[in-house]
Amino acid sequence: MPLLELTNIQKRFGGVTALRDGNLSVSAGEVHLLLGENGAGKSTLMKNVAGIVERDSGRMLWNGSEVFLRTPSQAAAMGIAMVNQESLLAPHLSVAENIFLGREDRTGPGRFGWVDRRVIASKARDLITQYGFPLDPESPVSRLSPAGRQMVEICRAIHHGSSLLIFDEPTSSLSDTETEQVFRIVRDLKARGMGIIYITHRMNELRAIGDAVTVLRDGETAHTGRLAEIGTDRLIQHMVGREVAQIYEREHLEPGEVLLEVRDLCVQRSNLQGISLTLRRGEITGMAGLIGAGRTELCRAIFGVDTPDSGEVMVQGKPARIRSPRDAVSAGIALVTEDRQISGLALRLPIGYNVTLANVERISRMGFLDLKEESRASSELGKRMSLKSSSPSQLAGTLSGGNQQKVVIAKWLFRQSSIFLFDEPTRGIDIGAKAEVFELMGELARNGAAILMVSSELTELQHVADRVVVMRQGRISGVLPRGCSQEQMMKLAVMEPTMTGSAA
Amino acid sequence: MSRKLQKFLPFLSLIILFVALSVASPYFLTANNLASVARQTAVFNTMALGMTIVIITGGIDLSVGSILGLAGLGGAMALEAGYPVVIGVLVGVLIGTGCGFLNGLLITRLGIPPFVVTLGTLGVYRGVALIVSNGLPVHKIPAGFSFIGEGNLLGIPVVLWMLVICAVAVHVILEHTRLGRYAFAIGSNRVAAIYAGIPVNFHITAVYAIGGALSGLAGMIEASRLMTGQPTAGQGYELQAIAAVVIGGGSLNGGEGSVVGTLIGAFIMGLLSNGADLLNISNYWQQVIIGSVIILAVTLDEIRKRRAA
Repeated sequence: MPLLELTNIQKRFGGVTALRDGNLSVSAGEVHLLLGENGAGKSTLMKNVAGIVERDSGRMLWNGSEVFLRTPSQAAAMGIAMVNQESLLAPHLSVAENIFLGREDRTGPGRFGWVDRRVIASKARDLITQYGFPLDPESPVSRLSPAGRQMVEICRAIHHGSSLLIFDEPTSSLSDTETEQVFRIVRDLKARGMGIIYITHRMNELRAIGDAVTVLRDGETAHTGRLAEIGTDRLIQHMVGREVAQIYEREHLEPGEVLLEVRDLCVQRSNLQGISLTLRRGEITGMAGLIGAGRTELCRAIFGVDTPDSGEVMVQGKPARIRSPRDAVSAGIALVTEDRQISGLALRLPIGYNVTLANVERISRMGFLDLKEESRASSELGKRMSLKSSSPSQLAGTLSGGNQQKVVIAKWLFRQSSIFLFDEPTRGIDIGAKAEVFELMGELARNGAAILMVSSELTELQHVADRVVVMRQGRISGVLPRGCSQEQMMKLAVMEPTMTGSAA
Repeated sequence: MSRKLQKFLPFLSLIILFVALSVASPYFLTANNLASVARQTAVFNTMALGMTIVIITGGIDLSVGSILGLAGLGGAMALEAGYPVVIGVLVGVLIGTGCGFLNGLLITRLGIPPFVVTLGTLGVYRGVALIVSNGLPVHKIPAGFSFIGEGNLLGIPVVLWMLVICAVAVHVILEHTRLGRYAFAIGSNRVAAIYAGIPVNFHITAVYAIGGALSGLAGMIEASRLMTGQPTAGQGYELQAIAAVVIGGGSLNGGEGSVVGTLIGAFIMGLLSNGADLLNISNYWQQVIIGSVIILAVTLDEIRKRRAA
């Protein structure tokens, strides 16, 4: 008998049907993958299981009997717990305090509001050693890596004997080694007989962990079955409703003049050492490397966020003094950051404001803003990028991840930048939107832009980039031509750099 | 309640309050009373306009009451020294601008939160006013100066004309100029603003200077109404100004706020206080009522925003 069985779950929010036909069944000791693009209904289905959202119709069987959960605490009492994607931890409190946050009373002496740190710490230590997490119960959460935080979230979820754990994209912000750690934990939990539902966007991690898989598309169950019986391409096809090859399709051009040249750049603070790199017109230069290899730091240094200690940056053959993002923007450089909500978008402002943000001068007429022109220009850019929005006055924060990314790119298009630094441009956006982002990058290259694309998705680099620069521990460890294999990239990302060939 | 209705709730409340007071008191709807409401609220209103831009950038200026005091005093001293009214007003506005500019510099150069910087300068500016004046008010002001606070132009109080001009100017700055646009951007996402190449520090400083200038002007209005330069004038006014912005839909998290909203907020507070006077409600109760209205207004606004999200 399955641990959990969902049949024909439906849920409407107002006039929108979020879930038309959700089906999924997971057994004890099984990892069930849940795939689907953003908006496919994954979260709604899982929130239904976790008691956050009530279903309109359909059946949920828990150990064979029908249940209807109205609150998360009901779900928790039955043994269902959800590990959040975005860390919902209190950074200033310790690991132990976070694990027991809101449940201090269960630790015994916690009655009457009294919190005994030592008791909590020792309870936490028991739990941590039981599962073999590399965590110090007394260290503040703010000092932990994203993977460490994820582990604290897992501890929170399992500390009172759950039998079903739901992971919502646990690895989306983790490095490869950290991801491997999370995998080990998941496998361990599975070996202990827990049922696990695992939501992910990363296609390359499926096989490492999954037993069964369900794909949702537009609120319906597009596929459900054993993972071993279906190929990855077929899964993607179920997710997006089109062929995989079309996603990365792009014509490769002969690169033109050098637009950006970095010579022997060093930044002590972020441990960048002797970076040399050229970006040419019409070329997409991919950049691979492990998290912490210095790729983001390099983008920040070129963009003037961190000031280099030595080295030169040349724009169109002339030395450029870039001391601040402002200088970089004036030099025609654009940075699409990996965390668009933190540094890319003003979420509470309209799309139009965001589009013109880096070039308000362009809509200024004798000191006053031409709001009609702003609206016209952002509508036009929106149309060109197939942005799904009601109007330029819609708030940016109400858009989906992929559409937010398009607004960020539109901002730099409106600025008429010619050098684009994309840092993990497809993080957290679904495959359909990814294809559109690649299409845009291709169009930019065709129109003469030079593009640097930092990515942790090797498949992306392999298909989209004209060549791939690999970084390792603050240095460039090698350059690979188009069509190189993922193994070659990994090798350079992990191995000691050779003495020669460090210039890219 | 429909969303549209909720958005216009502050305006609706103002109208309802207006109608209710007209019915409740025969004295309310008289030219004299309305002119006095305009005069009483002009000081807060002018300050609140500046506070609106500051709050939109995600900042706050707690020192505006002290700026009002110092600027009013300085302007009055200029008048006492025999300078014409125009120069006196200009002196007040310039002192206000300077104080605001200094706030902006401290915030951007030292990287200290606006709350802390202006909490400090709240004490500093007040202290300077007391030191300069030796704690004594400046009285010997030419009679013509009262025209600003008490005079009429085409049958309408001069302060109302000034308020309208300032309000239009601030509205235009916010909605139709780069400075206003940058204020929204900085308040909504400062990092994104920096990454977009916006000279953030420059614009933050400019915003505090404008806020200071309007507080300086408010100081001259206050001085004209009292016909004295009081070093202690304006104590606690900063809270009234902040309240007006917040009732009018401004968010202390930045990125939100409007001139129309702030004016409505300030007039709601002005009418409440005027109505309470007319209906013989004690001063003590007025504080309770106004305080409750602030909480109620912000609660309703939060509910509206949460639904819209």
